[in-house]
Amino acid sequence: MICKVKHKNRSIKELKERYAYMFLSPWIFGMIVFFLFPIFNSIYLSFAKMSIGTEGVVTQFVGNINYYKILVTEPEYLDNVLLALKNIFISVPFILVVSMVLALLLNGNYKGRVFFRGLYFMPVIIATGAVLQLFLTTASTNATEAAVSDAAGFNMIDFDAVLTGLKLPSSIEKYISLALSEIFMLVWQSGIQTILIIAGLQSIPDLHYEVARVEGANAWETFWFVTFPQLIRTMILVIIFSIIDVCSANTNEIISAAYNKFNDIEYGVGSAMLWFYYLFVAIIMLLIFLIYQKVFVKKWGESA
Amino acid sequence: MIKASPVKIKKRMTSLGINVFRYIMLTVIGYIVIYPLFYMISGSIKPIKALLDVRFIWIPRHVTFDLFETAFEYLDFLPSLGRTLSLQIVSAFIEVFICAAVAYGFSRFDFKGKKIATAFLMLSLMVPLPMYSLSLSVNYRQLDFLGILGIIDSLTGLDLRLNVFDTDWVYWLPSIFGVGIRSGMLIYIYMQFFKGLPAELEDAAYVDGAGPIRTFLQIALPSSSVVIVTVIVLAVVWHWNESYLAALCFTNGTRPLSVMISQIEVPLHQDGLWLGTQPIANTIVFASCLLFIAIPLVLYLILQRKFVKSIDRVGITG
Repeated sequence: MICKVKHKNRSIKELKERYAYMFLSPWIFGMIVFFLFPIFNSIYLSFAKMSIGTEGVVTQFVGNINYYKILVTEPEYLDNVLLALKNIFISVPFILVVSMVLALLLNGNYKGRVFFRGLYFMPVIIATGAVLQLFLTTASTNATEAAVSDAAGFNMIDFDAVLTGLKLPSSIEKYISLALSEIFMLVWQSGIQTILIIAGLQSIPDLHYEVARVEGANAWETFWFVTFPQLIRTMILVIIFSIIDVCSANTNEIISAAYNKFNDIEYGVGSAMLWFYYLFVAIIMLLIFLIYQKVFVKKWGESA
Repeated sequence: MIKASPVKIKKRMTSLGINVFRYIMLTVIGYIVIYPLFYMISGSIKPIKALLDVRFIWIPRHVTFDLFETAFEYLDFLPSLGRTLSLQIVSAFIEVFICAAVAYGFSRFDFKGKKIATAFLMLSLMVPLPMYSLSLSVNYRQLDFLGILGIIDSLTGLDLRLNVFDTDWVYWLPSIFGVGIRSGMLIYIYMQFFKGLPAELEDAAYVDGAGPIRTFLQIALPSSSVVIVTVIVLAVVWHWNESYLAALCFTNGTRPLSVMISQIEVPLHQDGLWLGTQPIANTIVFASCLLFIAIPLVLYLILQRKFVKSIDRVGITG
């Protein structure tokens, strides 16, 4: 009898495994053909010279000439890479804080929540494409060129004056003023992240909050000991998403430089530009994963 | 009436304080969110003369829609819109369906190699499309699967490789296999949802002899209608805005709106209008941007209530 049940269990397990492959085999195929293969191909292209002619596509391996070209003969490329990497460190923490604050503000029961949420998710619609970049370039020049006075123009508030008034250490002041000068951009880019964090907040069982309340924790303690540990997984996703978003945005200098190279049919050089930059981005993401594994998973165990 | 205890009063005061703080913050940041949109709208309906006015006026005295006509021409609006609909919106809806199936496979069944598959799912989140769209577009010129058809060609002289370059298949093909634009993210959102969806109903369907696909289509998919709203909005928006792959794959013929708007500087320059230095060029760009976001924005305003509620349900775990 027991033996029979065991046998039946195993067969269900086998059956379910078959079902899984049924659902996933097209995806696995697509993953190889339309994702992994193009990636390898594109890395190979960065070491090659490609031409698209009448007899099809011809590629020829040339070694690291492309990398030599971008690093030695185009000095502004390296500066742009540094700038783009710096941009990650400026934008991503700010986006994280903004989306966290927005998610906490929008979450919960209050009058007009549908209106406010509707308003705050709107940037998701507008700010994911070329529109944002066009808007920023034109609006910022419009303010000066069209002689619109400063206070009424694109800069609503003179942030710099406020900052110097606060007398902060110069490095912090620099960071804040940089972040504030891009405040529209950053708030607009926090849409999806806010959505993800709200979804994460909703997935924390009410029971945990109840326990915290019974134990007499205040709001601050509840946030750090109940909400935050359970949000870590969501936060990692949000961080990765933000980094990728900043890296593939239309405002990214490296990507536009590479695509200009593609337009000039210098495919190899463009690919080299992309992958040299991505190498550093990948290292940053890897470090974040390692920190997550080492610090958070150990500290809070599997529940985190 | 019973007098409220001091503790209760204190509690009520705190919650009142929190709410006041919440409304103030939401209004202030809300202003930042809405400001650029108003700026664009007011910039594009004002006559040029008013733009040069020193006083910045939200609601212009004279309203003109001339700029929209100009923007309409620069964007080649109707043909491009047609291309966007057939290329990107169709692809978005394919993706909405396929990603649900993939996420269902991931979250409902255990199988060998699940860890590796999940790792590749993470990888697809981490490598953005612009990184490899060039080789994708090259492959589309002679559609090949890992070079197998090429080997067949060199062995037998039978060239089975199709040229899907410049056709809608450049977006449809990856979407059909669930690896389209940011599909990793969509799969992840679905997975979060399926995790919280009780599996009892599906088990009952299995016991009654339904196959996995039928169970998926008739039980799991209808119960996930809440999350589908979120996924539709995100998929449509991401597809609507994608321009890198489209710019590489559509070199001649009608191009989608996203490519037209991202390269709008080119026709403007040709007509002697320089972006950033001439107010007229800037206002044309504002009008084009508004035309470009108009349709997704209207769609969003219609779906907004459902979308907001849907997000609440995405992360619910039992």
